[in-house]
Amino acid sequence: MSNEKNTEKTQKHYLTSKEIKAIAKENSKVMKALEKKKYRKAVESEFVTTMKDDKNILEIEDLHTYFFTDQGVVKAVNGVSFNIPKNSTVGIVGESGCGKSVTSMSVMRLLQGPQGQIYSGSIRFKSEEFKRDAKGNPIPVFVKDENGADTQVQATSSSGAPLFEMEEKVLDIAEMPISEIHRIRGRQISMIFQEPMTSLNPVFTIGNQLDEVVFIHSPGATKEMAKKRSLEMLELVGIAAPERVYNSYPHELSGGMRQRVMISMALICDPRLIIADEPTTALDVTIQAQILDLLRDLKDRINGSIMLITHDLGIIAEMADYVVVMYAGRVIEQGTVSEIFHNPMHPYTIGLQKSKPTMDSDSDTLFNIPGNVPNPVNMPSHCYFKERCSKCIGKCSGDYPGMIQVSPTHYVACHLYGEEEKNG
Amino acid sequence: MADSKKEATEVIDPAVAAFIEEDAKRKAELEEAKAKDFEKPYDTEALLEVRHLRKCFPLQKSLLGKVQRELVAVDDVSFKLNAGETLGIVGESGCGKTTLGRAILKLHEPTGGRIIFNGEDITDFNVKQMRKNRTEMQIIFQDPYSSLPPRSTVGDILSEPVKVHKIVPDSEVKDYVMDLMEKCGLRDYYYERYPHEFSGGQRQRICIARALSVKPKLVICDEPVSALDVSIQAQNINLLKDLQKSMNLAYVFISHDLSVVKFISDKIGVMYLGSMVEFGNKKDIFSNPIHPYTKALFSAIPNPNPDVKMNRIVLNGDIPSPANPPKGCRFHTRCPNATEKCKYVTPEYREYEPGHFAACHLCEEEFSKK
Ligand SMILES: Nc1ncnc2c1ncn2[C@@H]1O[C@H](COP(=O)(O)OP(=O)(O)OP(=O)(O)O)[C@@H](O)[C@H]1O
Ligand SMILES: Nc1ncnc2c1ncn2[C@@H]1O[C@H](COP(=O)(O)OP(=O)(O)O)[C@@H](O)[C@H]1O
Ligand code: SF4
Ligand code: SF4
Ligand SMILES: [Mg+2]
Ligand SMILES: [Mg+2]
Repeated sequence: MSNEKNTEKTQKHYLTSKEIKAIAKENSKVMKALEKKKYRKAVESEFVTTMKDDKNILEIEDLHTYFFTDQGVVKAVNGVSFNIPKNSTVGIVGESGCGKSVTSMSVMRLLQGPQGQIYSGSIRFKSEEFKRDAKGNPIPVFVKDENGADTQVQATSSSGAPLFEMEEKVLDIAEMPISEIHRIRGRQISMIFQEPMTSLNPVFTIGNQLDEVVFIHSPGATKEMAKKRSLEMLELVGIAAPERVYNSYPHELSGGMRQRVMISMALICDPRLIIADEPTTALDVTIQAQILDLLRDLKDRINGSIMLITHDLGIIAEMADYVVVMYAGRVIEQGTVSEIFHNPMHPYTIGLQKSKPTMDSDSDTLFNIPGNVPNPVNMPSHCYFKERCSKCIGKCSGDYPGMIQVSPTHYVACHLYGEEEKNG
Repeated sequence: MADSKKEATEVIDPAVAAFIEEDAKRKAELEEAKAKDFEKPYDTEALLEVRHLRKCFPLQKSLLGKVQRELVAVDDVSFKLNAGETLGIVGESGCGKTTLGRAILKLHEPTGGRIIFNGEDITDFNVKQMRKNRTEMQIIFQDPYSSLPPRSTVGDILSEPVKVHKIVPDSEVKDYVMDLMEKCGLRDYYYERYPHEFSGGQRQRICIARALSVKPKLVICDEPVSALDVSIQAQNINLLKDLQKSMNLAYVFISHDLSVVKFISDKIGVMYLGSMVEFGNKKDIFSNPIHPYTKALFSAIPNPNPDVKMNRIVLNGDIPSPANPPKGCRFHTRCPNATEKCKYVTPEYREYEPGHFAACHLCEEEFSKK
């Protein structure tokens, strides 16, 4: 017993002020360099790249996102790689604090600086933007005027907004200076947050806020066009009285309605990718069911992809095509939804599925994974799950296990699946 | 009642008028039945019995301090719970689960109804009289972060109630606490540590140990695992279940997670806008839910199996405000089976099978056919 006490004492929880100063000094050097890069002026060629696979809309490769705190460097995302194919839903699961939100914040470049920084890695996004002329102005799409035979007029969308020519480019979001990010954020990638109240401005009406987004997205739209588009979107997300909601303030709506408004706002710009971070966690089961139905329906209608973050395996099973399982800042398994549910391989994935009580099980005790997630400042060099793993083998005390491919779509990082899979 | 008469004259439809009359009649009958209920002797077998419990919060007061509008957070809830049993309370947020739990402990003064604990009517007990009961009735809160004092060690947190309530002689307190910590899965060197050094799951265990340190008979668990991760949730649910067995505890287990409630409960109560809409044994509720809201609730749970095609009853609309609940059946604005009658007549909370209660006109009709 006394032995255990001593080892506890040596792994102390408090740093001396001298140690904190040393860490802070080291951190500020790195942060300064990264901040400088973030605010630099850059020519486009510095961040234009190509996709590894043309079927993907987003490719994240070896992403490291760190928080430089006075207690040490928190490696919130520590070498994450996964792809989001076109027209599909990718679910990200994992325990609270495993880096799901930080991954999405990295894609949106919404990390709180100077502590939060993308340290390395790439986030390749297939962007579709206005084609611009030499002066940087968008080039309108012209069609023949219906009345006059020879005159050309600018084409318009269904809601009457003027159309411009588009072009595809692959951009590395991680390399972009922050001044360029508006090309993507809120235009091609939109985000739905867990708590809708924090992302709606309480002093403006819903209509004001929706119209604002329309103006950003379609230059030259008139007030009437904007309103028409806003109402159209509110209707699309199943709001029964769009006109009333359009004129309401956020606090006058219920949680479910606010979440719908958030979704309609995220849809206005015809995003190619929607990131939904725990979109239903703050809602009740019956309202959650409505929102999930809505999201599933919308994905097909807008022809986009969804990155769905949640800790509820039930939601993943219902919504996702592909699943990425994260643990302590790393991806530990990924595959199609049926691979992850029918043939989970990583001991953590297996444990996670067993620990959730289901509606049709009748057992007396729940399976549980003992222990806790390791301290994010002091990650071990071996498998992060080792202290909680019941299948641990000799190799597990060695290096962190590499990603092993077990099927064209199924990957797992665990020493149990070693050489034979690689060879076979 | 004056209100409904006035409306009746405005409405032309005779069918509606008949409904309103029926509602008034039923309400009068209900009041009578209630008065009779209060006179019935207490059930000596039950550890806790709640009869027609009601809790209102004032929304608006006139200048003289008279309540003008009120919010009925818990309306006419009745049930019995035996020693060693678990009652699971489910329902959407704001439906009054927490208020019910706190009213049972008299942390909220009940507005009406009776609470009988251990064969004693505690409804009108004052603070002094409640002190004895305080050790027998404990509560565990949802948020393990804010419910522990930050400047006390775990040892102090657990010893204090033991000393105050003289559970064991002073000389044995430390051994008693150490023993309790072991039972609750806390290592002995935690004794000298502070709450902030622990993860959410461990803090929740400290809260559990603190609640159990005074040897209670009843523990109200308000969303005890909702703030925890799935894998940690399972650890603590198992712990609660083991402790229940070894200490013969009764739980009122409040949660919005139906699968957790199903796992831990013996009886289940489903609440909607302050009322109990269905109550019964776990088996009956899950194999044969009779209230449309319960059915919808069950069908809304995402199933962690990608091959099962969901056959969901999607409820339209949002939960109405409890400050201004719908007339008639409170669920009628969202109920897929609602009829004209439901809009005006409050359904009666009745026993349909032994120990299986529900409040719905549809069930009433179906059962009267049988
Ligand atoms: N601003 C910050 N400063 C320092 N550390 C942070 C900050 N934001 C996040 N972290 C750390 O990064 C890690 C990942 O956090 P993240 O919010 O991504 O978790 P999550 O998986 O989304 O969890 P949850 O389910 O609770 O939302 C955690 O260890 C967290 O403590
Ligand atoms: N102190 C209070 N004053 C006024 N209203 C309250 C108070 N506490 C709770 N309420 C209201 O009572 C209703 C039920 O609340 P609560 O029991 O906390 O819901 P739940 O626990 O099911 O989420 C809610 O509408 C809530 O706003
Ligand atoms: S690598 Fe070893 S310790 Fe890690 S999950 Fe696999 S078996 Fe367990
Ligand atoms: S009484 Fe009517 S509205 Fe209420 S639950 Fe039954 S069928 Fe639905
Ligand atoms: Mg998060
Ligand atoms: Mg509550």
